[in-house]
Amino acid sequence: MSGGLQITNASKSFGALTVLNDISLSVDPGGFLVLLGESGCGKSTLLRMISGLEDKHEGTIEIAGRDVTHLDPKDRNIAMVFQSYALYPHMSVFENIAFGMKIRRHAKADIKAEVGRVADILKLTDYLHRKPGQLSGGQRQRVAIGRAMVRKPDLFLFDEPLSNLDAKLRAEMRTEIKRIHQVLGATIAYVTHDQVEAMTLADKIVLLNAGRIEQLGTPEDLYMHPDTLFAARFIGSPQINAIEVTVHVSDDTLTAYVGDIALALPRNAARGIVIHGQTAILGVRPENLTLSDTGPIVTRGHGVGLCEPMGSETSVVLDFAGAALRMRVPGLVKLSQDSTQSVSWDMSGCHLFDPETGAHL
Amino acid sequence: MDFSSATAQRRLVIVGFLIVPLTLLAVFSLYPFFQLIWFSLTDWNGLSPDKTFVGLDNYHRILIEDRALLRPLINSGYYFIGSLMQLALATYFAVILSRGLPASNMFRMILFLPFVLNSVAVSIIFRDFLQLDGGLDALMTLVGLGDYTRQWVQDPDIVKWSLVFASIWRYLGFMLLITYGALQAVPVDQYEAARIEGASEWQQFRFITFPTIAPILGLQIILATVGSLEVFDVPFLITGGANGTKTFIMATLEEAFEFRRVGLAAAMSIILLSIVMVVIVLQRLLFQRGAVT
Repeated sequence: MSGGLQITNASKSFGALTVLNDISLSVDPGGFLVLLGESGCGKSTLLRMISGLEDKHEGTIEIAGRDVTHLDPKDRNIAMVFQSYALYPHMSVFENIAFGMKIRRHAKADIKAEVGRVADILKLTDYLHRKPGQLSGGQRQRVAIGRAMVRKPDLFLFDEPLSNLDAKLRAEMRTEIKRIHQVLGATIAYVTHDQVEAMTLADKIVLLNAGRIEQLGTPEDLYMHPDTLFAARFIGSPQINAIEVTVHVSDDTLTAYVGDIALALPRNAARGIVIHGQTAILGVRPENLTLSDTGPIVTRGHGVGLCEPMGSETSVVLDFAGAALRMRVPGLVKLSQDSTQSVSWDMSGCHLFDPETGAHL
Repeated sequence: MDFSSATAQRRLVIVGFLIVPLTLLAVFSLYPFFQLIWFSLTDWNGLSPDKTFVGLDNYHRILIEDRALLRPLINSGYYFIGSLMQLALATYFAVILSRGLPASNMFRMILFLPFVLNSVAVSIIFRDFLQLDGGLDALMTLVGLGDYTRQWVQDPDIVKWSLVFASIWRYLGFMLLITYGALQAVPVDQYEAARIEGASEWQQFRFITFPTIAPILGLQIILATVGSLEVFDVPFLITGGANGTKTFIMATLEEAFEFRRVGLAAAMSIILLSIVMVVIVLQRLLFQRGAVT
């Protein structure tokens, strides 16, 4: 499996604190894996374990079909881009990018040619003689990526590379990273807490929660078929509506009751057996709700809580039996705080979760 | 003056805070400095109410007629070499200690301790330590090096290095602390990036640590140079200037208070000050060229 990554039963503890618990995953050569999760979930630790900067862990790590578990970082043939860029401030852009090749005693002509090639891809040619202190955040980020690219590694590791950039630059660099991935065909493991980065970049997302894999799958899998309430809540903005309901089962049909309001559910809202009268959490994405009083399921008389115009759409929060009901309404809509609204529900993509464990029913 | 406006109040605060340090500076630094220049142009003996203006005679005597007066400056060379060794050692220990080894706090304290000890106490300890059949000889005999003992303080060829050794021991901790502080400013992820790129420990020092702390090392060399020109306490207390260990400061004091030639001593001080100023300017020019922007 040249160029891929395979992690088997990896665990890591700092003293009594277990930060990663029995992690197993694999990435195909040329794949883009995103390690996603909240702060402190162990995603950066996992990346550092792959890099070899964090040793003394359980389990095995294979890169490009080679067991690297006990190898030094320099012998793993990996390259890493740090959140802080970790550029050497006293070296020029050229020297920063060339550093790895210089250390490995490549010929000067080779170094020059290779740095030139990388600088060309990253549009850094005009800045090669500048020091990092004279560059903008985005340019520094590109230098850090260049330093990784020049090595031609088996695996690229990115540790929250865009989190120090402003929103506009972040979107540009995201596109840039995607482009580089396509140009190089490289295998990438990428840590982020930003679900937009994860959704746009990844072939495969590993969602980590408290040191365990919450869900592993394609971005579509995580969005359309979340295994747990945590996964459903983590992916998607505005957040999925999670409404406590009582499920009634009759003749193989499911109906969710919120007080005396009945919401008919498709059978695939639950994956397994649901007991009649069971309490559950109903997950409905904001985009599956529309402001309308026509449709198969309509609820009426919702007070307006919040109305945030975002430009192309408006984020609306309505009151639903005392709970917040988040919606995305196309275009710029202004709703009076005194008005009441009707909502049409599209239940085709809804999910039922266990209120205790958060698992999909 | 109206003190009610914000600008006037701010001025009052600034003046209020500056007046004390400026007065102290004027009374205890500037006034004595100008006095010293004036003394150096006279034949004052330090006691007499009269002093006669002699122009540049004192300078003429030191620089042209009686150059033996400048000879103790040669000893500064030993201390300068010593302070370079001291800087290398301090950097070495600082790098090791900053790696977070077990008990590094304790070692840091042990290395820094001599600097906070009283100078007189340290010198007396070393005087006994370096005596014939003193502590060093006893230690060497104990570890089987008894044949290599020397007259550490009595032999004119060795005594200067003995004093340099005592000086290194005393001031190593200070240099170590400054270098250690500079090392803390190097972000850990730069080392991690270098490790991934394949840099050995030595290459990490050469390409990351050294360029980052170079400006601080430059400053330390300036301090060391100035310090070696002004060495006084260690040789004064251990040998009293015997066996050719007299330093320029000791010679100046001797002229002023033993031979009662305060005018000449003042001129020697001004010459030393000029040398120090030239050294600082030269080194600043050299190090600014290589400084990290």
